[in-house]
Amino acid sequence: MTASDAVGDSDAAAGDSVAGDAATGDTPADDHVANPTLGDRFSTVRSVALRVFVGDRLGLVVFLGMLAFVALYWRVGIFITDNYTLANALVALADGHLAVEEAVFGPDLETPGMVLHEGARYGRNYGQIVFTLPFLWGLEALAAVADPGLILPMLWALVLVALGRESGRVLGRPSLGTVVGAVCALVAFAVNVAVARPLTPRLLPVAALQVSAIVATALAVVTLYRLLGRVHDRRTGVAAAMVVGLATPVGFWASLPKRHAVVVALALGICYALFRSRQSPSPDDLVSPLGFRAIAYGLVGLSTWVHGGEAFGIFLALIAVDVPTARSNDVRSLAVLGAVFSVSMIPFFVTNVLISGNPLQPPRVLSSFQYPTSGAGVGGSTGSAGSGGLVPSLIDVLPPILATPVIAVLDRGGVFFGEFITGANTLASDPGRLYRVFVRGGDIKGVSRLNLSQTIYLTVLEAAPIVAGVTAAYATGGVRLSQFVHRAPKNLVTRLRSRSGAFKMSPAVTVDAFVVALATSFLLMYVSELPLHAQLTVRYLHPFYPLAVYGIARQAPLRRAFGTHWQAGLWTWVVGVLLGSQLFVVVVAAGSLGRGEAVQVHAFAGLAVAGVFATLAATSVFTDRFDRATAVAGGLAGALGTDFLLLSGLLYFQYGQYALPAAGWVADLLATA
Amino acid sequence: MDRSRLAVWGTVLVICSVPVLSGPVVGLVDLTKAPLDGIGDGSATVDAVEAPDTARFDRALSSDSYVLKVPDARIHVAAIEGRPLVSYKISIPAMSYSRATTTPAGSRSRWRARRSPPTG
Repeated sequence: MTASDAVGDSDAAAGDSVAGDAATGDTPADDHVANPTLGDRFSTVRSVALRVFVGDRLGLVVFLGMLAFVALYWRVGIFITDNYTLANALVALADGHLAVEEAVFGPDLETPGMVLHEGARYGRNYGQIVFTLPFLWGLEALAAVADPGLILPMLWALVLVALGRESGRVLGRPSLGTVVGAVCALVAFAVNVAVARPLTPRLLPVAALQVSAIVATALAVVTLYRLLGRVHDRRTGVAAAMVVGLATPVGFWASLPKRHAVVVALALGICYALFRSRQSPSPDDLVSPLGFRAIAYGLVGLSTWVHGGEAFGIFLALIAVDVPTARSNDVRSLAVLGAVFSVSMIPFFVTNVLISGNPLQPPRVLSSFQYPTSGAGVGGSTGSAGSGGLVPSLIDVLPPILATPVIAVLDRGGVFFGEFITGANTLASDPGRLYRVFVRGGDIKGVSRLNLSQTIYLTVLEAAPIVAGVTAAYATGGVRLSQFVHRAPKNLVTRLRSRSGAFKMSPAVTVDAFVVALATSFLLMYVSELPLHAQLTVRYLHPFYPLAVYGIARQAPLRRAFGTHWQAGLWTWVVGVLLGSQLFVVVVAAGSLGRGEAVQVHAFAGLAVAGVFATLAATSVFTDRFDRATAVAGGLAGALGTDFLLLSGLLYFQYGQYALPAAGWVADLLATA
Repeated sequence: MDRSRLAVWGTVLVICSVPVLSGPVVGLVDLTKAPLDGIGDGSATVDAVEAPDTARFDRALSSDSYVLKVPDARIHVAAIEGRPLVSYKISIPAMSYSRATTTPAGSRSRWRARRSPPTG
């Protein structure tokens, strides 16, 4: 609520440019003298870090707000069996070795994703694990002096203090914000201390994985704010960031030790870097457009370290959009991109060499030998079929030192491309399964059985009804297409003439194209496996949620509807969260519904509202008469997403121990209701 | 400005010092005790346990069967926290026979358990 109030004022208060605010706003009343003191240096470092990670002060508020929200339903513990693999691998790495020797968590080391190579066991997603290490060290250092059970409430209270202070500054009421933040933090902390429970230090590695995922989520959300803040305005950016964080499953997977939060953060980072690489540079930019283009590739390289397959999909989407639309692909640019990309892949290669001895063989590919039914098996055969004829004869000619990496690349390439080809074949032969992925799930044979016989599978729309707003994009597309067809003959010629040579896309349209390419790439990668158990919210397509919200925010009619009637939308959301969540609790308690049934109640409510919102969003393209209704429907769709986040965290999926003891107290109350 | 700075740093100081006071180094107070709300949660300080030395088989009344009669055991408890369980088990390996009873202990300072073992 405060964040959106902030939107209204911030444009007036913070004025001109996004970056300028960050550069000037941070030092309170210090006069900058010639010789910099330690304090000056600290504030310089702080303002640079602020610009690099969150963009500006409003971005910092978004970041802190996301941290504070996710903690409300953060359960310290293992959610699905895959988590054991990462947690055990993290413990091993913190002990200084890659091989996982001991099952610190879980019954044994036979957990999904654990791979066996030459007698030693290894985890996966090492980029995420290494990213978690500093958080683990931090938590362990704190646990050495502070009560482990109070560390997380303490950190949360400190986030509240900072959130109050920064919100106050953004709103132009610094002292009020500071006092409100401090009082809220003290009261919240006192309540948590009053009902505190011990936390065994044994769980710190799990908590560290969760902290890193939460931080990645907050960075992802703030990156979407920054992107849309530049594409449109900061108000749109904050609204989109709030929607993604509070009303989509991005919040669901935020505190779960899986790769999804990290992949989403990297993907959005690439969108942002791609946009900046097309924007004309301003004098106080820290990085040149070419630098941003290199950052995009660098982030792709880093994502290989988290999940090679998904990184390859991101890479394909990026080169498909970036290379044809770049201002220039001269030797210097390509050399810079190649250099940065190679350097960013070094951690991935080094990890692979240490584990398998082959830089191009990540642990995940080793695991395919254990699961012969997965896409890798299909890909292998495709690869060998595709390399018949010319390629083998080329390899024969090459000296062995060159041929070996070429064979390895082709082999891996076959594995990766195989997934895309399989996906395309699946889409062509069985398009009906998209309905089970995007619209209605329900009781799907095979999925429910493996989901502990519970109907806890939600489709994209059921989990995030707000995503229905993308219909506006389809409507706009339809309108554009019909206009294009009407004046095609003349237009086409002039357009082709004006676009001799390379395409000239505006920065925002470039990102649009990348977003579409990225979504397509993820869909092709995973559609043949979906619907699948242990997905809950179709987590394999996790990047779809922020990308869809980006797509919604890009629609001028929806920006008009929500911009004019943002209060109606916001209040509907508030009421939908406060009353709606209670209504859900009452329905679940009154009907003594099981977990699967409760989730399906959310699914039906979500689909109903999504249908209305989809219709209104599409209508908004043609008329502004229903803008108010559109904003209300959007607010309600968002509220249903938030309700699912809160209730799934506090009621349906209770496990482990709540990071905030007060949240655990509420959850106990709800469980007995 | 100074006053709000004071508020921030004062709050931060309070928030950071409480976990340290309850932490492993200082340990002035323990604010994160596990709640003893369930049956079986808790502990008792036991002064003495008087268990009988012998148990006897008695011929059952108007029957061919025998009844195992085990005298009561006495536990002298100095302090009880929460609701610990008292269990009393008797086993006769030669007969592969074993019985146990479990009773939640009350919170009285002196508490006397009477055990009437089951007949067999």
